[in-house]
Amino acid sequence: MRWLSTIRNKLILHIPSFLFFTFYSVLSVIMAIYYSFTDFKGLGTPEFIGFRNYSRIFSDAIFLTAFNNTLIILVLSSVILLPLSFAWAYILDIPFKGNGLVKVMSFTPYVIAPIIVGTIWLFILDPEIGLLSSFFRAIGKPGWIHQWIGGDKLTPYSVTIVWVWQTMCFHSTIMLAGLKSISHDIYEAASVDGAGRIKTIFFITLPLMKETFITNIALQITGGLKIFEVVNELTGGGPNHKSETLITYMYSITFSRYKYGYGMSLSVLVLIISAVFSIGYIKNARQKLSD
Amino acid sequence: MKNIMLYKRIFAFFLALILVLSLAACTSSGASSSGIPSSESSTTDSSEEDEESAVEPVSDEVVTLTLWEYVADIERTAPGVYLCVKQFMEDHPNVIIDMVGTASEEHNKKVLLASQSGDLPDMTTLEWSMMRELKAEGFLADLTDEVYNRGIDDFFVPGVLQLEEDNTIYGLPYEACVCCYFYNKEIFDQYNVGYPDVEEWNWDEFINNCQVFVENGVTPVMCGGLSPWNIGIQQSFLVRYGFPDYIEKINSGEMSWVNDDFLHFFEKMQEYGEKNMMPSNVTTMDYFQALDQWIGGTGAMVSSGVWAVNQVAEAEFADQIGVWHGPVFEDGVGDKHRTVKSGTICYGVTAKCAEDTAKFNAAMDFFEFFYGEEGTRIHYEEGNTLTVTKYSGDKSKLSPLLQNVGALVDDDWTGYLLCTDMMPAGTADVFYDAVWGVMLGNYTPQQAAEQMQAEYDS
Repeated sequence: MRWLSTIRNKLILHIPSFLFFTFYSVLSVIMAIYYSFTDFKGLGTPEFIGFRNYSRIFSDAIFLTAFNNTLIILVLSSVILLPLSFAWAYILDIPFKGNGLVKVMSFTPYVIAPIIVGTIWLFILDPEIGLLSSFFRAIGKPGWIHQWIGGDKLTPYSVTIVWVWQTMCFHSTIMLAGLKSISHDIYEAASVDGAGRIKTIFFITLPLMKETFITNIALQITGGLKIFEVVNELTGGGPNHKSETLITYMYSITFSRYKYGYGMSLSVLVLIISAVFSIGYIKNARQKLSD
Repeated sequence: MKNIMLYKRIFAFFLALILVLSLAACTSSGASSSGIPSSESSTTDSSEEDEESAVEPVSDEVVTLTLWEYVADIERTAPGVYLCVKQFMEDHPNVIIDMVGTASEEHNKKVLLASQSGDLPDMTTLEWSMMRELKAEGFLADLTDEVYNRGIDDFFVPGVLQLEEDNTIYGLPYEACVCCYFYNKEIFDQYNVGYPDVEEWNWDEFINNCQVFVENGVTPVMCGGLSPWNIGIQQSFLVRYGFPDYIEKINSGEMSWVNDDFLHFFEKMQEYGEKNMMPSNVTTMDYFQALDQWIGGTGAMVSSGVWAVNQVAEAEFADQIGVWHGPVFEDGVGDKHRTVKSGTICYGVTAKCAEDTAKFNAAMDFFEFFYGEEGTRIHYEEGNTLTVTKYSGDKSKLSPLLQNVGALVDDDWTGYLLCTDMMPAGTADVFYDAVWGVMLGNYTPQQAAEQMQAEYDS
């Protein structure tokens, strides 16, 4: 394998990935930043307007609604997703018959296309014809039916449930990898010292999985900030933008109202928020770890 | 050892080749090249249909044209177009027309992105406002000479052919657009409610009579809020409140959206929502679901238009379907009998196509056929759809439903373009939001009018 270990050959093998990343990622970001300083409408020559798009953002009531909804989804999903995915990974780590099949089946929600996920949950959560409402009617509790989606208030919470359902398995997989990386000798030593299961989890497993949690939280932040398909299928961001998230609103502004400049300023803002949240969190968490 | 190294290198080479080829596949021509997440797009290559009747090209010069339609399932939703293309290709073996269908919500975005990347097709359906934007940027061909020289202008019913300010023609009207309510006479009979078109209901009669349905658990009007454009009939209401009379002044800034007549319109929309005229799950249902549910027997009426006559005919109660322009308004502007009645959207030929003489001639040959006597006959008799062209056949041989709908198109109500076709491109979305907002109780009429004005001011 010496031919592979030369620096020159390594660089050559990296070229396709580098070109792909530069063309499809870096260049796109640069173009978005450029258009965010213009009044581009999709046709014609963009006119430079400085920071006018950015100054408009914070007085835009719909943006504030979208930001609020995205924050609700992020915070709630963190509270629900991390413990749930850890618990599921812990169960999957226990050897039992059919464990492999359960692992594969539990990953199914993640491999279904997000648009299909949205469509499936639309027929579950629709307040009139959805499975959930039909179930409540069937058990004689019509009063329990609410406007799960399509109303004023509950949509972000419903989106959170769908999001957690879809991504739990992915985060569980990372948690499972973290669990597998812990040496069994440590558990044996703890058991010899008389530590029970609960104490083992809290004083050995969780501390040793801090890096895994950091990774999961960072992925969850960036994933939550770019929720699009689920919201688009469930409600289209409506009614009247009440269930918009940052990305669905950016999409609506750019492609439905042809305000490319303003839409790109929203996307740049999402990029900055995403970077600040995730990088800031990771640095802070790692600093605490090393302390 | 050397053999293992050789196999590894060969394997690595083929992996790299697969990666490069898969990237090339991502940029291939067709609906996927725009990069738009089109959830409902299909490609129908009509040249592959009816292989038994295909005729070999008589000359070596085969012309291939691409045609983008604004419906996903062309065969079902635009059967007239589908059949015309098929017949045209049979009559012209050296012309192949590739039809690509995309759901209307995504079509505009696709066209816009394609214009930026230089991937526009040869022919495409366009909203009138988008047509004007593309024309201004030089993306469309001037069809004026061809239309007049070939006599295509004579095919249209009076008033539908749209001329630009300089009397040029860049878009040919696509299909008859009369926004209307289809109503189920069986349900009306069941609850002893008279027929709205026969009794010529005004607004108060419309609302009050529909409360009979509400009280009996029947949705008066099926419509889908997930399709924001499903307010065609509401646009007809706005026409009755003077929109065509005011739009030039509004576009030029001389007049504001916040005026008494438009506020009256928005107040009616507020009442529409408050009186439970729509399904309770309107915000989670789209137009196609609403239409399918109505065809399945749910709801007294459906908010739609004459373009849906072919789907509506699938209903078991098809011979019991009435059609209606909607209510008249006692406080409206001008003639009470005015409505949206025009060629909705249009066909455009791209400048790229016009650069190739053979392609441009083939495209105009197609339109000459499409709008001519044979194309009109195919629409009416085989596609069961209406057109904006003169039909010289025996209308009494058409289905009763098509005759009723045709009567709606041919009656003496004054016809206008859709309101959104008279607004600047991109404003339609704000208009939909304003109307739905008032109907759903999220905006007041004043807020809705101010929102429209704010969009114009920006």
